[in-house]
Amino acid sequence: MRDGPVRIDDRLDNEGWPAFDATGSRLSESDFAAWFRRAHEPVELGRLGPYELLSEIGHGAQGTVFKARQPGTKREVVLKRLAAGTFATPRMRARFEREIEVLAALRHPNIVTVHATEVVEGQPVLVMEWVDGVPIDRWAARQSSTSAVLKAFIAVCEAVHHAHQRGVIHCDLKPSNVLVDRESRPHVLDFG
Amino acid sequence: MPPQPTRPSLLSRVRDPADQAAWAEFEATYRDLLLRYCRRCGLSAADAEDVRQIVLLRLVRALPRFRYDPAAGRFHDWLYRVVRNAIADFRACPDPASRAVLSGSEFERMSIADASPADPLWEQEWRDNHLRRAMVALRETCDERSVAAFERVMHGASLDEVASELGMSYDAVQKSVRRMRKRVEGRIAAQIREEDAPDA
Repeated sequence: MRDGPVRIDDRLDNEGWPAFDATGSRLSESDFAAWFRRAHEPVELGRLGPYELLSEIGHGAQGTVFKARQPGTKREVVLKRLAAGTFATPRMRARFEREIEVLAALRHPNIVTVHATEVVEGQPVLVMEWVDGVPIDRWAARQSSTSAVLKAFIAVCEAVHHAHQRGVIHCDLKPSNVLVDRESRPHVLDFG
Repeated sequence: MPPQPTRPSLLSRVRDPADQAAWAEFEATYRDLLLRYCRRCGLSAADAEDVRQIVLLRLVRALPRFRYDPAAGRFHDWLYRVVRNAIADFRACPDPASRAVLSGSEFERMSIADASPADPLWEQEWRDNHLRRAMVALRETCDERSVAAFERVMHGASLDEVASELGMSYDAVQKSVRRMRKRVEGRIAAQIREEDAPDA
């Protein structure tokens, strides 16, 4: 095992960066800050079919979720694509298509809206409403009024009840799957 | 005496295909690196995801037999070669339906001795990935105000501005930022030591 500073290749020097070990310990303050900014620059994602991908907002075993811009309308949407892409097994595709069916059947003001289901580059893709919000636990921590929190709680209960009446169980209801928008309206996500 | 790892290395653990937690950690560790490198090589986001899948499928097959000796070559150089081969195979196979059966037979015979020095772009992405991972870990363990002060200064705010925004003294911000930088450097060094830990 290596001990002490870990040298990286000096070939990096020809890109205008000073020689430094991989931890950055020899960098000046301004060079370290420049490295920090570059490392955190969002990578340009390009397009998925006609959609302009803006950022990756989540990924799990089943799907990768992007914030994207819709062509024509230019509105911001959420795209969910099977994580396995062209390697998806028939079982994975069937499960994903079932999620699409389930979500499309749920129409409730506190459940994220499905705009469309499409096949993009040979893969099923779910196009959903983009909710500009924060997870409900972070939102609740900033509320001074108990009644506002209770109102949001009741709205979430009504959304879940709506799903239950249609035979759909969320299975992963947690704060990060409930976003609260600027009007304090909660939106339940990820019924997959 | 070099420090000893406190647990089996991640590479040792992913050799057991049943260790789902190790695979999840491995995936989380290298996901961003693989996707960013593929994108910088000109692949679309969807194609980058497919190449990532090829790389993971090949690693699942190869890692149980893989023996790591950092003296013979470093893991991230070996991983670079795996990724380059996967990108080349992907580009050579325009039919999406056929990509699922890419054999990667040459890859399966590769050992750590086949690790090749990476191109500067990979090195840069590998280094950047360590910095991002260190920050993710420190955001979970350090107090919110120290992290906020450090990130604001890294993004170009002056110490005066940050002191005013966060209700701290100038000296307190300066000390906090220096302390955070030391933590970042220490965290990256620990990550690299773990990555380079030889087989037990």
